[in-house]
Formats: sequence, C-alpha cells, structure tokens
Amino acid sequence: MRFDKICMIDVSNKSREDFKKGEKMKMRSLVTGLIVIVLSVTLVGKAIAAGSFSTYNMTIPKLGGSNTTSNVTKVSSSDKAVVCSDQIGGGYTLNARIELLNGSVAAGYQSISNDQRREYTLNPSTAGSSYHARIATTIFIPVDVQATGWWSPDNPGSCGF
Amino acid sequence: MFREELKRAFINYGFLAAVVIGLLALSQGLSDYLSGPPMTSEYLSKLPLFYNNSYDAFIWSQRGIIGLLGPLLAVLPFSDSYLNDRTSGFLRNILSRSSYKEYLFAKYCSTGLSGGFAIAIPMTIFFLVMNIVFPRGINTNPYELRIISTPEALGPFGYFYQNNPDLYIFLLIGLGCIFGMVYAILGLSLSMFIENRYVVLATPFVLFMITHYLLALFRQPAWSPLSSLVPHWLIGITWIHIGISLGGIFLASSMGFFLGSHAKEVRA
Repeated sequence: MRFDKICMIDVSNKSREDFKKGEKMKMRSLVTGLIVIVLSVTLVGKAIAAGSFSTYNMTIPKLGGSNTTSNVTKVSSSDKAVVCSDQIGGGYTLNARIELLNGSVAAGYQSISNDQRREYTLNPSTAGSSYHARIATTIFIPVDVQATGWWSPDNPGSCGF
Repeated sequence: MFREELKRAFINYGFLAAVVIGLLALSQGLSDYLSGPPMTSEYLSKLPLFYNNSYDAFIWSQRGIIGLLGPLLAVLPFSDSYLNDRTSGFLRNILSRSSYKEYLFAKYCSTGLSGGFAIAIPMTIFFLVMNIVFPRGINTNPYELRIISTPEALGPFGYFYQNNPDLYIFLLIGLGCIFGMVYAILGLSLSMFIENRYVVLATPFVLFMITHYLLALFRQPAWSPLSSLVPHWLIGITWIHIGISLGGIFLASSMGFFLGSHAKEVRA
C-alpha cells in the first residue's frame, strides 16, 4: 500500500505501465548515445592516428638536383611513411627519401615514377615529430622535371591509383 | 701482329686509368644508395627481406657518373694509338714487318676489345664486391623497393631481373662491353681524320653529351646514347633504341675507319 502511494505521487496522473515504458525509453536513448559517442571517438581517433596525405607539386632541378615537400607533423606511432607519386614530367624516374627538418635521413632513397606508391620504414634512431620528403633527379636528367603527388609521414591508406 | 697489338692495347696506363676511373665512378653512383639512415640491427629487422641487396646496389651504381663517363673510358686505352703510331714513325717500322691490311685489322679488333673491357672489367669487379658487401637476393615487397623492378623499367632484358638477377647483371655488363667497343672504334675512326690526340679522346664524349642533352630537350630521352649503357635510366627503353643508337655509331665509325685508312694508304 505504501509503495502504491509513492508511485502515485511520483508519476502524478500516469499509470504504472506508462512509467515503466518511459524508463525503458530513457535507458535506450542513454545506451544509443553512449554507443554513438564511443564510435565517434574511435573513428575520429583512428583517422587522426592514421594521419592524412599532404600534396606536392614542385619542380626538381636537373642533373642530380633535389627539392623538398612541405613539412608535415607525424601523428601516428606507425613507423611507415608513404609517397604517392602521381605524375613525373617527361616520364623520368626520380628518387625520393624521407628526411627530418634538420636534413638527417629517416629513410633512404627509393626510385619513383608515375602512379606509384612507395612505403618507407622510418629509422627509430632518427625519430622526430616533423618530416619532409626529398625528391631528386639523377645526374643523367639534363632538364628540370615537374613532379606531383601526395605523401605522408604516417600511413593513411591507399594512394587511390 | 694481332697478339702484339692486343698486348699493347691492354697493357698500358690508359687501360689502367680507365679501370680505376670506372671503379671510382661506380662508387660515386653507389653513394645515393648508401645515403640512408644508419643500418642498425634494430632498423634492419624492420625492413623487408633483401631491402638492400647486391643487385639493386649494382643497378644504382650504374646510375651515377659512370653513365656519362662511359665514352671517355672506352677511348682511353687504345683509340689514339693509330695516330700515335703514325706521328711517332712507329707505323713505318710495323709496316716493314707486316702488311697494312693486317695492321689495320689488328688495330681495329684490339681497339674494340680494349674499349669493351675498359668498361666491363670495372663493372665486373664492382659487382663481385657488391656480392661480398650486400646479401644476394631480391626484395619482393611491391611497395618498399629501392628500384622500380618492373620489366619495362629495367630495359629490354628486364624480365630476367625477377627470376635470374645474376643473368640480368651479366647482360648489363655485356651491354656495357659492346658500348665500350663501339665508342672505342668511334675514337679510332676519328684518329684517321684528326691530328690531335686530345681531340680524338674527347670527341666521342662531347658528341655523346651533346646528343644526350639535345634529345632530352626535344623530349625524346629514350633515344639518348646513354640508353645503350644504362638501359634502366628511363622506363620503356627497348632493343630498338639500343640497336639504332649503337648500330648507327658502329656502322658510321667502321666506315670512317676503313675509308680513312684507305685514303691514308693511297696518300702514302
């Protein structure tokens, strides 16, 4: 009897069934909200942790000259960097490597050409926060070469070609 | 006669200089390959298997200054010998003991062979050293490779690289040998018409550089004479590029040699 009286006061004019339904709805929306928050944090966190690509479009000087991309801060703990070479003028083969801002080499030269993905294992002894890619012509190339593409000191995923 | 000329072609300071310069030039080409971070055991364990290997190291070494110095190395041992024999009066002594035709044949063959080996010997020595320094194997990781290993990127016999890399390297050395022979004969034929030995030695190199630069300027780099010595410097180099380049120079210089020698014989 005492219990019935309290319920009557709390839910005012609603019946006992209506009160239970309301509680269930509240729980359901609470759980859904929690799932949405957990999923968002996981997905956004993963995206941040994987980093993103930075595009480059530059002219590489002839006869073994080189040029660097913009500096990018590493966000993931992955030891891989990626260069996606989209187009290289004249169909030439160039060389690309990853460097720290002070110019010390984090991963050695690999040859690149059109539509090519190159992965680099960064040396743990040269770990730093920001990197750039250095792209160089060989001594045989007597003309300046235009190179376009995108790169990342993290491993954000597919190059798209 | 031929044996004597062969001995003169191989045992001289020019040949020794060509071998030493060739080895130094190949080492310069390797410097970019070695310009990576320190190869600690921790770092090596993270890299793909055979990331650094003797075959890729040799291919990289060919992409250095050796490609441009090739014509100079080929002519150094013996291409100016006909001019030297003529100006020093040595030719008269030789002709007192053998015929002019015999002398010319011996000169032509020994010059070609010395030029070929002046390029092939440093390459062979360098490849042997690479086999001691680096592991012998092919990196099969498709994304983390030092070179572009597709057949079309490695020249007309690039398909051997994956299955028989030793054969691929020996074909590169063989091609270098043929390149050296052709350019040595070019130098020899020039010595029929030019009286200055330094001009004789420098002209094949100068012609090579001018042709290479002009073809790059006109966006036809695959036809460069460089493709005959370094067939992997550009993607898409075929036997046609190499055959026309080397064949054309060989025919022109052989004709020049025999026409020039005939004119000299008539004058004498």
